[in-house]
Amino acid sequence: MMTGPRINADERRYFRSVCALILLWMLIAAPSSGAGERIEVAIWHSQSMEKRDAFREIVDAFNDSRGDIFVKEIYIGPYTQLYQKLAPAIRAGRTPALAVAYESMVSSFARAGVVAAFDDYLYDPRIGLSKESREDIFSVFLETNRYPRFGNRMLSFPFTKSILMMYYNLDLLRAAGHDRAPETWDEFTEMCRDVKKLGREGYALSVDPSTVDGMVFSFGGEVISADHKRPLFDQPEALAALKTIETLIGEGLAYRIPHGTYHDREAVVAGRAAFLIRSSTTGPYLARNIRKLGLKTDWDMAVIPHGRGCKRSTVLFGANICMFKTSPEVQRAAWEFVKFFISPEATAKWSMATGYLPVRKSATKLPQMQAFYAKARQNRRALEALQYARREPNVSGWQDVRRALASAEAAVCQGEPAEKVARKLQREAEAILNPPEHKPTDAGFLAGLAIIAAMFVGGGYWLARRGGTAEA
Amino acid sequence: MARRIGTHILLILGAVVMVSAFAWMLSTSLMTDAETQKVPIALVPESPQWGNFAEAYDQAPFERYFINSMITSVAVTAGVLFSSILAGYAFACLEFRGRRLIFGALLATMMIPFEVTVIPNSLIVMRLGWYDTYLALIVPWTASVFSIFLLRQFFKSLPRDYFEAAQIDGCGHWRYLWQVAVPMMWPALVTVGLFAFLGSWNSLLWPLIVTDSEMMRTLQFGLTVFLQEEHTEVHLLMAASAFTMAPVVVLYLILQRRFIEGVTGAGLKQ
Amino acid sequence: MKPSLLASLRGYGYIAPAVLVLGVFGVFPLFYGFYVSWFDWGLTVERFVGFANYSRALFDDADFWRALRVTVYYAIGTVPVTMAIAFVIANLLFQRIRGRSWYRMIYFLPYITSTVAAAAVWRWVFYPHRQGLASSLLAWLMGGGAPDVQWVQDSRGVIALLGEWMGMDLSAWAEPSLALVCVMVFSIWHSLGFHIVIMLAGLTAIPKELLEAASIDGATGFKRARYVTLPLLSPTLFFLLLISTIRAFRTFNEVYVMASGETTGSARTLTMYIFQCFYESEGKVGYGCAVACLLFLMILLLTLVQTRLIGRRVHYS
Repeated sequence: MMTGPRINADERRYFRSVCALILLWMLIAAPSSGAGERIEVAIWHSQSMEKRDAFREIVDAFNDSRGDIFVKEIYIGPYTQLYQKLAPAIRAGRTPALAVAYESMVSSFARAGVVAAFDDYLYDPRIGLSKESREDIFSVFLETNRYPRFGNRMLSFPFTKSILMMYYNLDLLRAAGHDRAPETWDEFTEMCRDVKKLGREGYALSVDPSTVDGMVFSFGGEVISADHKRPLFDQPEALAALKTIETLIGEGLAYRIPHGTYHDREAVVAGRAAFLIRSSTTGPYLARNIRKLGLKTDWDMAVIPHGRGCKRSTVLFGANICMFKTSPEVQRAAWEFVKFFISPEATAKWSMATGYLPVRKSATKLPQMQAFYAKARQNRRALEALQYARREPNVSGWQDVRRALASAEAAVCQGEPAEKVARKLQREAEAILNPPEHKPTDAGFLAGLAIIAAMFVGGGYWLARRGGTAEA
Repeated sequence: MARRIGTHILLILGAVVMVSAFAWMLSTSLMTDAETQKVPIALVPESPQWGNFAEAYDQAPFERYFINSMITSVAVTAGVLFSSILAGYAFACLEFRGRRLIFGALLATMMIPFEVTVIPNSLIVMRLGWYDTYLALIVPWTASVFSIFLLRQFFKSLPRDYFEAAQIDGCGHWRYLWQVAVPMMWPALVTVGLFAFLGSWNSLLWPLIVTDSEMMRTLQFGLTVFLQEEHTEVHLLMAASAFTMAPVVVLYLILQRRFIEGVTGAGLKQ
Repeated sequence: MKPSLLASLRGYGYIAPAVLVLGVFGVFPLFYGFYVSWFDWGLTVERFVGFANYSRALFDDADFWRALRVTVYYAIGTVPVTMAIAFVIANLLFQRIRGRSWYRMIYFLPYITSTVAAAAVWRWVFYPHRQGLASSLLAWLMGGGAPDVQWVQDSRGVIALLGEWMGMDLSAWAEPSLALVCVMVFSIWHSLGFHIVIMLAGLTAIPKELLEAASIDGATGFKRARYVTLPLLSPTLFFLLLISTIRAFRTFNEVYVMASGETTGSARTLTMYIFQCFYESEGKVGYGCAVACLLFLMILLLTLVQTRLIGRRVHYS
């Protein structure tokens, strides 16, 4: 090993600068402050491109109408990204006033105790909504924002709501001898068979847990017991839903499209497949595809089929807005914005620009909305189907149950028998909803301790002795 | 001669596979929205839509993002090179107490899954008051174990006679390092610099978490604009990806020469 | 002989910038993660649970073990293959051949192309329903009887599928899944450029005289590669082996972009599992940290084994 000469002038200069830099790093600390006279309400969201433009218009309209509040909309990215940014922000106590979030995300936030409930504002006699206004909001939208685990409080508010719909290529159905949407799943399967005879595909299936939930509802079933403790995938209704998929896949009437693609839209538009099942926001994209491809496809959408003898049912989709505990003034200002956003005019505008559902009944009566519904029959389908929409449970752990559901649907698509899949799904969901209590007295405790200790001692020994690599 | 041709055939076959994604990206960037959704997949656009680039560019303040990415990546690269040259040299050629322990500990930091580091690191940055500043984007990435380790391997491979000769010329560690060793290590330095630049250029999550304002956002963030909840604007995404990666391609083409020249004229006879 | 503390100062000065940054932004998170792993932790601390997170992972979580097996398959399936291919290509590209700068550029392209674009291409390659490139190749090879392979969506074991195709019952071989193999192919393709660039840097740094001396001695082709290039390149290769093993165990992006549609978990690596604990489940951050610590320890031990077994054979000039 080389032993160099004494420390020379160059090195001394370098060492000095290192010390100076360390000092500088320690000293640089300039927390930003930018408080104006208006209360600033930051809202983190995931709407981009045209949808962001529409959102910005509403925000601007609000800001113009108020001299005391300034709402700043900040695009963060898709939901995973939004959550990834919110997690450290919550740890550091740097939350925005409002953020767009799914129910499962809100549950996480609520566990950390950082969410302000909307009940305190909604029912406030001074700043809240009147009874008529409250009843003007579609009740399912409010229901979905109540969290049984947190005292049934309203921890979020409807923002981008849509429902699960069935889309179909009417030209193709006519060619197969049908002139209307299937009412029941049996009819659906039958129509798929007729379409298949023409050499086309029946149903372009995209794996999505909400679709399975919706199907269970449409067979008259529930996915969770009334006390939110027991999943109900072992019930005949859930089995019927999986069986339907099994039949469709088994007979080659449905095919699974690759995850993350929207090739089902293209397939239906181009007449390669007759059906697809997705959120009601898909409609505008179908219309756009048809326009851009220069086609004249006749298509329509309807509420998803139901089991024989069951009521029509479908499932509610979409994100909500959630308010963080900041300061009374900011929270109050944030509520003012939310109130503005769900005003009939604003929610109508939002709905027409994005394809999300308006949250208020009165909004649908506005002349501009009526004109919009009259323009194309597809425009009003989602609203017509809204009465059949049910919410998914928002209990703790449901996000993991959804993953198990997607896994189950994928397994059925891969040819596994529905009964077996349903049993496995039920087992997994039970384990998720009733996690075993892990006490430090677990049988594995000592063994775990030993293993971990051994690993740490081994690792430490290695670090000390070998320094990571062999010396030549 | 036959062997030459064989080599070329082999390399060209491989090259076709390797270039596919890039070609795909360019081709898709010129398609219409509807063409990107075709099945079976359309390979080339019917008529190239050059307007896609302008349309994609207008969706976000890309010029600002570009400047931010440039500043960040150049600073990170400089920082990584500086800290890694010194540390790599120290771990390879200097004797000091705890050398192995420290090196092993640094190596260990490479083994933590990225997700685990994100939250504590962002807390540090916020505590330091660096939130939404260039410091937050740059400083945490100005040292890299990978680079230190790579340079250490290269320093170790330098023939020892060079150092001894330099010492006879009255040249200490510091001058030997910067005037003799570094010029001999171009291929390794270019590699380290390239990867540092790339890593910084392509990072998304970290800049997203530690910045807030449009003024501080970086290029990769701009790309997420095209990923929507119910739709992805694939053609615009690819167009934006293409102009996002253009600087890296240019950089690589420039650095390429350094690579090929390799070590020319060992710096002993200066 | 230990150097004196005073003599060590120079070394400390040289490593100070790197150690400072890595200490704050590398070592601290390590301890933080370790600390969190002892708690039930949602987005903030909830309660101390001692070893419960660890014992749950080790004794009570089939998903953890499955993810671990997937990770091991992934590392075994990618690291040696990538190194071998990269070694051959780097040697070819090191020769004086026409257009080598273009070849080098092209072979590095996948590494710099955005992952989104890369994923889109490979999604097309592995497109199911006989429409992707892989399916077309299969149809070309096997004629009309080619099965409709689901590629990256297929969670069944690749060996079981091969057996089925050959008329044997190998259904007991459920791992690795076809989906995981597809991810591996993608990953090899993607990281090849990284390996080649580092090997080229290593080759370039070998003093020319040594290589020329070998040529004069008449060593050509394979012999030259085996007896001259390989030992001279061994420090670089050893470095790459360590680094790429660590990277394989920490891989995330490749799996995320390729296999997030494979929901049954047959291609879910440990980092993907940790990601889900952190960002897609509720209140499992502490548990995710425990899994991360276990992963950390495994990588550490693996690196130790590698240095023991292989590190000694490395040849420094």
